[in-house]
Amino acid sequence: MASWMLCIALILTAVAGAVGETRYEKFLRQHVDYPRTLGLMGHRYCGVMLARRQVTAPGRPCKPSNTFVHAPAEDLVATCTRPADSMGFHSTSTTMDITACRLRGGDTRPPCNYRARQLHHHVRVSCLDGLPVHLAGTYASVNES
Amino acid sequence: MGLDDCNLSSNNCKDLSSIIHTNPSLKELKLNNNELGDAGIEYLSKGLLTPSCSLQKLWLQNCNLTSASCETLRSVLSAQPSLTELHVGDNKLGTAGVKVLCQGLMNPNCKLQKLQLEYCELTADIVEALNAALQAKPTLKELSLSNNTLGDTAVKQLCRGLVEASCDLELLHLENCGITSDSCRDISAVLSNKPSLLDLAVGDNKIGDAGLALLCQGLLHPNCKIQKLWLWDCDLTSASCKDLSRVFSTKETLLEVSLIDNNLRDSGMEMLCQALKDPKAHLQELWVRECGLTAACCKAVSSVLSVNKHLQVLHIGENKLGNAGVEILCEGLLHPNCNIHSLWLGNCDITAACCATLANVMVTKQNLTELDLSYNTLEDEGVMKLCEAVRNPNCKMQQLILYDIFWGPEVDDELKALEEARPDVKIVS
Repeated sequence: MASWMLCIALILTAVAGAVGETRYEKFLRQHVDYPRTLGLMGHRYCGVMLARRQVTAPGRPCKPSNTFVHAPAEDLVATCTRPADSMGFHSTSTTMDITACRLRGGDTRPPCNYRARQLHHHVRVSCLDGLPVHLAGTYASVNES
Repeated sequence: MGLDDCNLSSNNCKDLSSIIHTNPSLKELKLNNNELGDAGIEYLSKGLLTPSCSLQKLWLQNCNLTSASCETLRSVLSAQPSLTELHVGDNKLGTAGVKVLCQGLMNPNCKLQKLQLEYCELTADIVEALNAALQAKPTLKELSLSNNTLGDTAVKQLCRGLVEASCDLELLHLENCGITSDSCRDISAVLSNKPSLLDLAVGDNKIGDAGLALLCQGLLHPNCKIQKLWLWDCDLTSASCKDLSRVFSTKETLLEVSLIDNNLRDSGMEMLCQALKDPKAHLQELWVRECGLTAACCKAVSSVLSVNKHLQVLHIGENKLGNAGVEILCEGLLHPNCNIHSLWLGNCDITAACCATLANVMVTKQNLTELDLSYNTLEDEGVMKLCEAVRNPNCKMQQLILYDIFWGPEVDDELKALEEARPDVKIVS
């Protein structure tokens, strides 16, 4: 029976976390998974992680794409201290492990099915008060061809 | 009972088993994404096999099951005529395992209607057993084999089996099954021989324009009563749009079509729009996201919106429509004939400059209840205009979708205020 309590507790914690969280906390929830959650390979990573992080949920349309960054939150915070580009975005100095999730088929009604791509990309963020609050995209290193 | 992703393991299955045993009224059990393992299924089966169990729907996707679970599943299928739906996708059942499962399907006690075997590591060899099961199972209505590397030879064989089978198949999903144009004649035969078939999904297969042309022969057949057609990422180009147009303007049963991620381009879209102006075009939902469209086709789309009363859902995101294109679309949206209630314009190169027009649509178009503007650089100025529209009591939106748009704290405050001012409008981000 303990497992039931755990399950209910997990649900309550998740719900509480989503309500009244800061922009930075929301950024971490939607975009940072470090160390990368084990046991989820390929497409399963996206489907399960997006549901666990409440990016996808019953009653919410499937988010067409979402990127998870597998680097410590501190590294992304540090990125905010780097000079911003012309659009106000800050880019990471090095590439990071990321998983880019893309909705399959296009149906925006749950269950949401995704394709996963594992990449090593620079991450571009927008910052407020020195904290990353928005993932503005990723790009390959210019040195790679 | 929904217990997806609850960190359950094989140990919990003993408890689950007794719950099933003591609750004969339990009709649905969802256990997706739990590490139950073959041992877990073994325990679970004790409950599932009790004579009083009248479970109808069982979900066991991504439960770490292997072929070893299939013997158990076989016995459940053979013993429980109440079970009408089995979802076991995302488990490494393999061809050998599913062959055993098929034996369960053959049992006259089995009255299964829906079988989902996506991502089960099946190969071409499974088709013989599947066909035998299909012959024996007239109750089967839905079959999903997506994401198994079946290949053309197997798919052709499967289609021939489906045509011969007496089951009134309603749904056939073969996405990402390694299908090329080679299989399309046989898939076409299913379309023209099974008036029961309402839902065909062959997305994520490189069928190309040649394959599509063959499919259209079946689609246009008078016996074909298809309602939902999924052709996303099928390597189609504008060349396919001539045949597709004929289907759109003649197949009155057709309600939902996905052409996402095919390079249809403006010329292709314009052909489709011509067809959508035909009174016989009863399409309700059209998905043309990421189809290489630009502002140039928006006039044609707008024209459709001003005459077509059937179209309710339009997904046209991930196309470089720009502000100019969207402004033209909005003209059509505002036409009284237009019954679009759900519009998706994510990542369309829309900026703040377009938001005044969009806001106007939101407060004028009472039947527009869902609008997606995700991934567009609307900036604070643009989002505030949308918020202003939401405040207007004439705005009947139910969902305003704003994923991955950057805005400042002022907008945050306004969104919070809107939660109280208009709790009926869900702003999703």
